Amino acid sequence: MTTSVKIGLGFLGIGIVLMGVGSYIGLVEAPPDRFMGDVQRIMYVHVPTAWNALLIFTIALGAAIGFLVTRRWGCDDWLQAQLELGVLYTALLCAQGAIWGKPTWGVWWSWDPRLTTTAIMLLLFAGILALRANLRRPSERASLASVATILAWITVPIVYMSVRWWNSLHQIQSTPKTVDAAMVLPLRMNAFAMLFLALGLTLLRARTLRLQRQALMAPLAASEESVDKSPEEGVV
Amino acid sequence: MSLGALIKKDFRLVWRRKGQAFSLFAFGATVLLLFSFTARPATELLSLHGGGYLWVALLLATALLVNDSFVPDQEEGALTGLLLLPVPAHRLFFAKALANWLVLLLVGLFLLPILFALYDLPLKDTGGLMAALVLGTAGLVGPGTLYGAMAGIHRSGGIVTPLLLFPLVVPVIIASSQLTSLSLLGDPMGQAKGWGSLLLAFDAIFWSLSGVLFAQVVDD
Repeated sequence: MTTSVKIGLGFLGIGIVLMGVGSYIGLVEAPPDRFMGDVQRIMYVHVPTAWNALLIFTIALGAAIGFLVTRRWGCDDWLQAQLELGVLYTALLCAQGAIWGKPTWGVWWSWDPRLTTTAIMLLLFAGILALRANLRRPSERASLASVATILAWITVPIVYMSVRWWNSLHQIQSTPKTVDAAMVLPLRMNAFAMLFLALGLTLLRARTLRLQRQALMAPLAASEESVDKSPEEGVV
Repeated sequence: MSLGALIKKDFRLVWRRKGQAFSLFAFGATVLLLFSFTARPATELLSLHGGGYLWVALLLATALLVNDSFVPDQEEGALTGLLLLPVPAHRLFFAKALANWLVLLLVGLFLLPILFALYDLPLKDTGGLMAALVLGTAGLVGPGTLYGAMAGIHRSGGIVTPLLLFPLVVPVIIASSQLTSLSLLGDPMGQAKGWGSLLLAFDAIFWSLSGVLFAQVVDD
């Protein structure tokens, strides 16, 4: 087992344990919300998912700029892993929000600034995955996806600020000053859980992508088996 | 090679492919016609929504326009030749984007009579309508030309351009639809200026950003 796999699995383990403990506290120990009751408890996954989705896309921006400046393949592996995870987290985010929205707002979805900008962000980054899937040459896949990521990232601060810039149905950001300590603890734990899950999955996925690319770009250096499954002609 | 020479090259390409601009106009007119069937039997909705339908038609036309705007440049290795010259890549981008802008603006202008005829629309503010057309089409072709280069030069597949472009230009669609409707139906609350400023800001940001990033798209 290589070091990156060990660290990745370690992070996943930490994430799962934290998520278990944090969710237990959130579901059992923490008091129900005064107005919303138990429905509010979805916040313990929804808010951590939101924070981490925005963080993941920001790491993707760093990887994109990193690739364009340094041309290091490691950046591209991270970019791809972050794009996939960010799209997954944002899709989860929308689903959690809809589950909470139905009993609270009365609708699954509302065309409110926060929800609309989040949907645009999700579609934009999903589009970049489609772009990558349609390009064959690893170097053009990396450059074009980096360019598209830089353009798409502009939505991230807009999503974050949307509840402050416009009159939104969605509540604005809370701070530890406005949230009871009994609720802050499970929220924090789950936030770190989602972060460790993301980091662990990124490390494992980036390694898989590296091995795939190496097999594609240097088939002769790889094992006999991968030579048989030779890549498309004209691949550099 | 100066920007002027590149613009001349791209405008000449547009002129030589007049048929394409005409096809885009016919395409846009078809979209407007199709929308007129969606509002039945409440056809008065057409005049309320007409501004938005115009922009959806122009957005769909943009995807077709930009997707093959780099095709003639690649004939007989012309683009490779251009890239070998000591020309900064952003000049290639701006010349192509200006040519695309011209085509889309013309398509938009020629669609206006169709819009008025099909949807029975008043016109309260001609200046506002022209501003919406100029600024809105610029917002569509700026990032559109960049994604069009991905499709035309790298064969990223025609479907990818709308997937990337449509969500990105949602602010343009919202602002130009509003500005168009306000100039057609009247603007009692004086909202037009705000939407115009939003379009101007979007154009400035995305034309410069696309110009800077274009080098990364053609270099690879």
